[in-house]
Amino acid sequence: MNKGKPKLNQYSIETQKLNLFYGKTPVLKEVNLQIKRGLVTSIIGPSGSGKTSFLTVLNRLTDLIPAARVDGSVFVNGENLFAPDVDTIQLRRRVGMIFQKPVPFPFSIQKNMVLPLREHGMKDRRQQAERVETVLRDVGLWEEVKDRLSHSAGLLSGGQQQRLCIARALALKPEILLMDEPCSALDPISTAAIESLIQSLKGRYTIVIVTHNLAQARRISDETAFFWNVEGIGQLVESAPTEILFEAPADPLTKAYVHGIRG
Amino acid sequence: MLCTGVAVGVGLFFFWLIGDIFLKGAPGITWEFLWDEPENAGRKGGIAPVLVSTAAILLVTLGTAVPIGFGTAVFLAEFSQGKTTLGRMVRRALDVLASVPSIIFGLFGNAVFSHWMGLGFSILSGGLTLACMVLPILIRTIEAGLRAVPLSTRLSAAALGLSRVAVLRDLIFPAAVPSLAAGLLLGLGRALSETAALIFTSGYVSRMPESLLDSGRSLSVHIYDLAMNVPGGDTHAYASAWVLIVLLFSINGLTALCLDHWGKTRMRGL
Repeated sequence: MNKGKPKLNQYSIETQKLNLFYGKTPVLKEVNLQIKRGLVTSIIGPSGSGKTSFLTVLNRLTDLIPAARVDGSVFVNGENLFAPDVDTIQLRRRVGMIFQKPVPFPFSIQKNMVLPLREHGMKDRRQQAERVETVLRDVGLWEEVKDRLSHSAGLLSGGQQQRLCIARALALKPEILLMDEPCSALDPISTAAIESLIQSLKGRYTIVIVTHNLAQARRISDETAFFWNVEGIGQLVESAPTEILFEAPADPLTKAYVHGIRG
Repeated sequence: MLCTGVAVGVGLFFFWLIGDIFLKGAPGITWEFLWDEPENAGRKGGIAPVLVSTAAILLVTLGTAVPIGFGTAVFLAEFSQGKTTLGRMVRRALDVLASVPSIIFGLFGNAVFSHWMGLGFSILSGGLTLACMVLPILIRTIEAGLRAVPLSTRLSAAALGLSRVAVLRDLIFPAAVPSLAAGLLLGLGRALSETAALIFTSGYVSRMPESLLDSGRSLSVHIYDLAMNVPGGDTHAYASAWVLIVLLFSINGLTALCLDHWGKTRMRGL
């Protein structure tokens, strides 16, 4: 497995005793996880184990959920995510997110790509066009859409929409890409396209991907974290290099889950 | 069986009413009727000043109701989240306002706009009064449109680091345009057919208005006056009713058309 070249002790994301509540209901309990820079980290675990909730903490999308409350600490590139001076708009530029269902905005492919760029201060049309072409090539969509950039993004197939969403996030030059089951709504061919895309992004971005598909976690990720639902509360059971987590897990629960005995 | 009978009855009643107006009104509809000033208290001549006044009243109504309605709807849907006391209060007030009879709006407009603000019996008073009347329906329709923008869209916009302003401007407002149009046309229909509220505010002077501060007679007031106060005004009352009904039908048709069209483009867009 290709490990990239992470600097030693360089973590993109580090959580310490992270707890998340929706109102009074605890959703995540004491998650301590370190995510290495430039690698692909999978998060696996059964439904309700807090995987998606964990992702939404990392770009502070939890701010949009009225009753969500976080305690514990999260460091992104060494900076405290919940420090009072954190600009969430800048943060979310640096920490991109891809959702389970592709969410193209209801206008043209071109505007889908350009709107975030413009919002983040890139006003020059030539620069915009260059950036759009680069990232659309990165996600392998350029040849398919270059002649119809003015068409509605809603007319693309599901797989193309998801690649468009990835391109839209990449255009902002994020450092980290959070992906919440990005292939679960896609057919096997589109899934393969997204997986090879993730492989090609490895090294340039830190990728955290939530997946239900154990084979997928094994295929694409360097590290894997296993979450489990303990009496309705998501907890991290174990995290390790993917091979070790699947071949020789430390925790019997992990072993049972990856062998399909539980979950 | 009984239900079918009732349904058929309702249908027949509708056709009878419309048919009666169309049959008795149509002969009076000529270019002269639309272009001339009324003569002899409306028994002769046309309805040109009445049409102008009606249009002016509607313009005042829309000009005030749309910005206020849009602002309130954005506040309710985007900034109060249905939880704040203010938001709850505004919503409750709107629901009550929506069911207040128009005569009350008329008296309110007369007291506030005509007397207290000194606008007298004028197109401006009438338009402002109608604006108060159509606001509840306008606000609630726009609010529903704004709320219809799916959470997934909002979340993914936020995840791209789009500012609140950008999300509103580029994603939420465009999505609310169809409901804005629907609310507008519904309100317009209500305003167009309003009589009671206008008698006390814009008055019933049938001359061509020269400014918004002149009194002006709306179509519905004209019909009321011809039918009730002017013996021998029946033919022109029917013809005016014909014009009013055609206007209302056009507005309804336009609403349906717009919604249909926007509904389809939105579907394609998503």
